[in-house]
Amino acid sequence: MENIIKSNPYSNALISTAENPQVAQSGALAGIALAVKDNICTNEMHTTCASGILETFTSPFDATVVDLLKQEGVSIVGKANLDEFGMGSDNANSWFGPVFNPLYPDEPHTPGGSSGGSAAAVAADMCHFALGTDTGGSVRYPAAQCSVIGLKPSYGLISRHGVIAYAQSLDTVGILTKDIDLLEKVFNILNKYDPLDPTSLTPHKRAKLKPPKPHRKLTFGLVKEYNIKGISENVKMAWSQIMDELIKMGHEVVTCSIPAIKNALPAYYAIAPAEASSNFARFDGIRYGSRAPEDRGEHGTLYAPTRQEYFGNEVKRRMWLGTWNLSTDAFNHDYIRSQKIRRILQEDFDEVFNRPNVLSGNEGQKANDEPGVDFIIAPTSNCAPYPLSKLNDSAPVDTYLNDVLTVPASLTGIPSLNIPWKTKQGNVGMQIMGQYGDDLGVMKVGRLLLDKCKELHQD
Amino acid sequence: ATSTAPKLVVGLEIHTQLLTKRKLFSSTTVPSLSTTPNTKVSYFDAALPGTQPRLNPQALLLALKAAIALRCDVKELTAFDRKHYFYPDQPAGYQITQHRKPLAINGKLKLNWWDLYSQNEWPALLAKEANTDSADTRDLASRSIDVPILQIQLEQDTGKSTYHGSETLVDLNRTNMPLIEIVTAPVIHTASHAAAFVKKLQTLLKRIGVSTGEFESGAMRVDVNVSIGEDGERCEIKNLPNTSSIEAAIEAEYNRQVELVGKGGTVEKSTMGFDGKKTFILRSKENAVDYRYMPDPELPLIRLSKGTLLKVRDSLPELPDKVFSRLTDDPYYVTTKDALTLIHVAGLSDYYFEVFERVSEETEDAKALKQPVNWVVNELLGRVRKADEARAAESAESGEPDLGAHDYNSIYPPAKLAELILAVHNHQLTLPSARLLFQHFLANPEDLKNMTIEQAITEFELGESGDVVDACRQVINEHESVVKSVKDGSKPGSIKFLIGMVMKATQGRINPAVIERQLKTEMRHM
Repeated sequence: MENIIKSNPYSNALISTAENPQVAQSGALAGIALAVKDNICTNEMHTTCASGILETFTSPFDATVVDLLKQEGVSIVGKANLDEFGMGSDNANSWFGPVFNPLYPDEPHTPGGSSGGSAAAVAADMCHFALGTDTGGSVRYPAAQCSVIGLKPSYGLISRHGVIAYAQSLDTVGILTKDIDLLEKVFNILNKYDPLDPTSLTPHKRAKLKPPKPHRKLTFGLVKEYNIKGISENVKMAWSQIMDELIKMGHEVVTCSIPAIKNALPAYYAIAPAEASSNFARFDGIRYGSRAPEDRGEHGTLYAPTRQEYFGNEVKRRMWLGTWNLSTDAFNHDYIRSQKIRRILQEDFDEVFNRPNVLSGNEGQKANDEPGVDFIIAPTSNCAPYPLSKLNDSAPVDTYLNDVLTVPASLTGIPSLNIPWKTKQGNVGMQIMGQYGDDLGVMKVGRLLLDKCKELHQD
Repeated sequence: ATSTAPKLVVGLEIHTQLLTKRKLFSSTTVPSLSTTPNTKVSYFDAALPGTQPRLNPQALLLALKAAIALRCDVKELTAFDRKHYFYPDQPAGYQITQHRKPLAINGKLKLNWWDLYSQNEWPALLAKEANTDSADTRDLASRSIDVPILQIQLEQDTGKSTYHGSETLVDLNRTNMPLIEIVTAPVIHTASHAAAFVKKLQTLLKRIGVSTGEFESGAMRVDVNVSIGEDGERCEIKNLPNTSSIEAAIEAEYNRQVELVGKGGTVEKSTMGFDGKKTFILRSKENAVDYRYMPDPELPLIRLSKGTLLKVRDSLPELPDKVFSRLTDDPYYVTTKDALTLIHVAGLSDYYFEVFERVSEETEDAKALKQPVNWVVNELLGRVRKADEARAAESAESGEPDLGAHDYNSIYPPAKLAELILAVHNHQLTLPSARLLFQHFLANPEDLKNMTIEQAITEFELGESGDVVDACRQVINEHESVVKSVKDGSKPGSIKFLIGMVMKATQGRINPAVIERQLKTEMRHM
């Protein structure tokens, strides 16, 4: 609590703070403090999505993830700021103002987004862990920018019931923390089938998931399509250092290619806004949420002024894009084609991994009798956090570019873990991706590298 | 219509609420019409953020039953789409429906001649058919038409808006109720056929337990597309409250379009209303809304195995048309008229089959096997209807008509009716006695339940033995000269006179053959 009082006024990481957080005497998470991204429903405090339209909305129910953590005695200390409805990479699109990166107390820097509040709250020790959501990188990227661990789990492992959908074919609930033991503990609590979520992986399919491999000798993939223009020299050096260390540990590193990655971003920006424009149609101010005074009067309007006034510009921009993508003229060209690209991308990833994908049913590289990879390692972010003052210079499309690194794992539904890797110029965010369902394996590699990083810097 | 009159083309879009316990994508129990507004609304129904749909398997089952009964091709893979439009009674801003992969396509519903004419026209049609030669006897059967069904989709109902002056009140109880939409091909060419289709569909869906088919409660809602000629622009008439207004509205809209074109105008695609006499334009569809159909991103595809479909098929009761052909064929050979009665009275054909089954277990006699249909149609149904009419007349004064379905099994168990028929067949009872006993039992359910036929025969002295002996003796005593002429063989035919006298004395309760046998025995003993 002290840390919240100390840090929140500057970072603005939390939109709401609990007045008297419950501290349980028992439970696996007793005494552990949690910040919940404000697009995840809690029946205490508002759930705003950092949007004007839900400024004073309180959900009558807890999301399944909140419920599961409460059962283990967790203390919820507040609701974390975000880019409105999860749309953005800098946490600058919030009705409640931007989040400042706590690692830069002297000049406001972006914490990354959209789970910027969650990452900042963890970085400033306002909580032991935070829940975020990751649709195209929204947990991994701010985790990278705030030097914390951030897991985007396999799609369908963690319940989305009570998570306010941005694009639910991509949305996942992620976990941000500095403590990999706690991450694993929380993941195991949340990794449960939820009959309330139609996309929750069924017990039948869960039974098919294999436990992680022992780390005697693993194969790591260096996928060349992740080596995009704009990656800073420092990030590149960190990337190759990690690969070197892995080889030194006796693992194998192979370079490989996933050509469909270059189509991932256009596909993502056809699918996600389309789903969003559909999902946000419910925010009309009639049953709940903010309503423009004009719509209450005799002006003959019902919701246009409400939606005009209370949605932010980035949300409107993506809704327009999504509405266009779904229009009869564009649908087949943009939306259907993007779904095809998504399927090809999934198949390409399956070709590279040596484990079968229980979701797609693809056998993996093993089917071709060639050694596939166990994990793929790539940067999460192309550069270090930048000052907010610089943000105003970039056109909206520029901020979408970093998404190239994070979006492929979202489109394919595979697990990806960001870890901070120490360099001379500060921490760099690196992500470890594994085959669908190998979340524990990804976390094992994360622990291995974090230990190695510590070891390297002890000298 | 003369040969130059433009051709009427009608297609129907019928929305039917499914008889489920819960809503389509939430666990809310379905409201009734008297439920207080906005009290059967879950978080999902109200489109609260963070809620998700969960398909109610019962709704899928009922939709499959309808699709199979309407002889559709059920798709192996079916999916849900979102149809977007803003309206206050559409809380999510979209309706979950099926657009790209509907549940079923290419079905048909056969309208037989008896579906196309009203019941009071049947006797005349049947009589005419019976009086013509063999070439014409096929005439009635050849009048049947198949109406193709283009597709059946499963979808959510919307909420309900009611307008009070400048205020619009929204009730979300109906939101997310399960519906199927049945779309016919535009191949109906008379208004009465359209009405006949709707009536037949109502009966069918009710029979298979898919829907109440009621218009009054909004369980069935019919939109009618009318155009003139195959290429004419369609106008859609909405919210027609019953089959007779469907018929009237089609005729009115046809006349409007013909008149408009006759004056040199063109028909524009519009949504029409109907005031009971005339159709009028509600809105022109020039600026059609783009519904931006999108596959629902979180509802899983539904895969239907052949095994599932076979199970659903097996769970369906036999459909009326099938029952009709069974009734008129071996071994039942029920007349068309009686078969029509049996299939149009709920539960009666099953009742008939049971009685027939029990009688045929005991005898193969053709005459005896004709008895079940006579008893069921003429005696049982006849009596029940008379009672209904009497009650209706009574309650018409009190203002509460009470006509409706009956449970014939409890009114007169089929086993008991079979026993009665067999008692007549075995000469334990005459037909008139059997009728008297039947009426007594109908009026005294306690006796029906507790008495065997044998007990009743003894109790009410209906037996052919007992009083037949007394009656014969008395007649012999009263007509000595006739008896003499029979006995000595001078006038053997006069025994008929004696039989007649005994029958008169016993009020026809006793079989003449039994009387003749008894008379001969008595005379031998003289």
